[in-house]
Amino acid sequence: MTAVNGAAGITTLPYVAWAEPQDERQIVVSTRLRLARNLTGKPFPNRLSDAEAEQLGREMAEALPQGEGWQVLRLDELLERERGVLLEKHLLSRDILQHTRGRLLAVNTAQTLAIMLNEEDHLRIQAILPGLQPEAAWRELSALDDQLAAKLDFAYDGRLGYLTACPSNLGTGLRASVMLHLSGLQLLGKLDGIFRQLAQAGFTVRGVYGEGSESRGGLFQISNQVTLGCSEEEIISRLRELVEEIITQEQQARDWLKTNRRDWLEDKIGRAVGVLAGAHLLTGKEAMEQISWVRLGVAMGLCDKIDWRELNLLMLSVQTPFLLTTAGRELAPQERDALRAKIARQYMAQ
Amino acid sequence: MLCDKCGKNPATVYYKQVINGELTEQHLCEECAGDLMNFGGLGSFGQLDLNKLFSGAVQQESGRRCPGCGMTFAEYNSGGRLGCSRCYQAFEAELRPVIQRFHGGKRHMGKVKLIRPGGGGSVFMNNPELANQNYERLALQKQLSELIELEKFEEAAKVRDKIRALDKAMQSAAAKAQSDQTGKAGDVR
Ligand SMILES: [Zn+2]
Ligand SMILES: [Zn+2]
Repeated sequence: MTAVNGAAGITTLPYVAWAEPQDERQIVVSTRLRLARNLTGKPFPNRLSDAEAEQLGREMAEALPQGEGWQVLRLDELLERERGVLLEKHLLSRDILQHTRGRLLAVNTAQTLAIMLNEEDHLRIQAILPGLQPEAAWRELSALDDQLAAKLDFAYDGRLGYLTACPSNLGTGLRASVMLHLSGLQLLGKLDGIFRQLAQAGFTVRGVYGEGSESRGGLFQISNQVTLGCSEEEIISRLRELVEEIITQEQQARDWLKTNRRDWLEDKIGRAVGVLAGAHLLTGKEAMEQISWVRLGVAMGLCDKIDWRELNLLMLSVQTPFLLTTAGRELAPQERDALRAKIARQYMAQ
Repeated sequence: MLCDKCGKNPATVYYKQVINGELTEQHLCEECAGDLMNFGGLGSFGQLDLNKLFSGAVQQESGRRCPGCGMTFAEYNSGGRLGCSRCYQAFEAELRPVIQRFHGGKRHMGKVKLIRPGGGGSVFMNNPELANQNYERLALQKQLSELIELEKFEEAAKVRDKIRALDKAMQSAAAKAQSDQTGKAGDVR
């Protein structure tokens, strides 16, 4: 086990695999799948002492497949801003940061696979890919699960499937999520109806930044809620069906805007480009709003000042943990706004 | 060491069971261990009349603790997280409505954990239904042994009934698999 904290910029640089362009429709940002697994005969992490958690974490890290270039990070040894960076990259959950002793994160070189050790469950195995790729993510995730299962004895029951600390994750232990940019539907006020339909289908929606349909940056995450009584393939194909349907509706919303509100739309996008390229003080809230307009412009072919990938990297770079990493120190609110604006100007000038 | 049951193959599986407070140990080959885990495990094991065991004392518990981690159900209710995987057995009755509410009372239909009795083999690899029932049976059998050890005969009787019902289900699932197999062979011709 190699415990090299922060090597290759995992905890410092804004680069992450899901920032890449993948789908020419440019509505889906990323797909994330995770499996919950626990070890037979061991108390769940919430019942482990720090020493026990550390010991068990080491044992589980030994089971990582060889030759994937896994980096194992001790969360209690990271700076707060480094943990924040991992959170913004979606490699980490907020929950695991509540208590960091004995908690580890293993990440592969490509930053497409990440395993949280001793989160709510002993293992939270994740695959994160750009665009809408739930099938490919499942292939990678399931293969990693098999490799780990060859060395670790996972708690399992014939009727309940994989046993988890919270009964809401029982069975497959699979949570499949897709992050989408839905600003067209948001502008037309159609999100609440879609959210209701999704809830009826057993899926949840939440804003990635901010809450509900007020989400900043127009980004939403859709995930399955039920994990028991259906196969992984069923969960994944159901998610794809629903997401494809939402993509169609988002495209219709964008078409309507283009046909009926073109001047207004181009004005908004042009002003957003102007703010990002020229502002000297930029709050986090405003940055996310302007990035959302520019994202809409890029996806609709109404803006060529920046591309999808750079926009994703910009979005990450203006989040506070990255600002603190860039500065290498704590920053007062106004200093943050100034640095955020400077980084945005640099991205827009490229 | 040769298998205690057939005396032919090398023993690779250590099989331990507590019946009526008495420890029974067997060293078995993969094949015989598979049989034992598969059908009529208890029945063919010692031809015990289990009904005799279960007429015993009634124990009413409050603040019952999971034998695996020592957690009570009240603690689960306040924290929302179970203490270990054995809590699912220990608080089966209490958890049933919780699981029903989350998932609608269905059984696991996803990936099946590979079975490794004594480290090798995959008896039910091509039959997930049987594999899962087998897992259920192993868990119930373990539960039964513990309950008998603790002389909780009334609960043990319930578990024994579950095992019997499961054996029937497994037999018909196996028969179905068998006839599907012959059906397929027939199609080829
Ligand atoms: Zn034998
Ligand atoms: Zn327990």
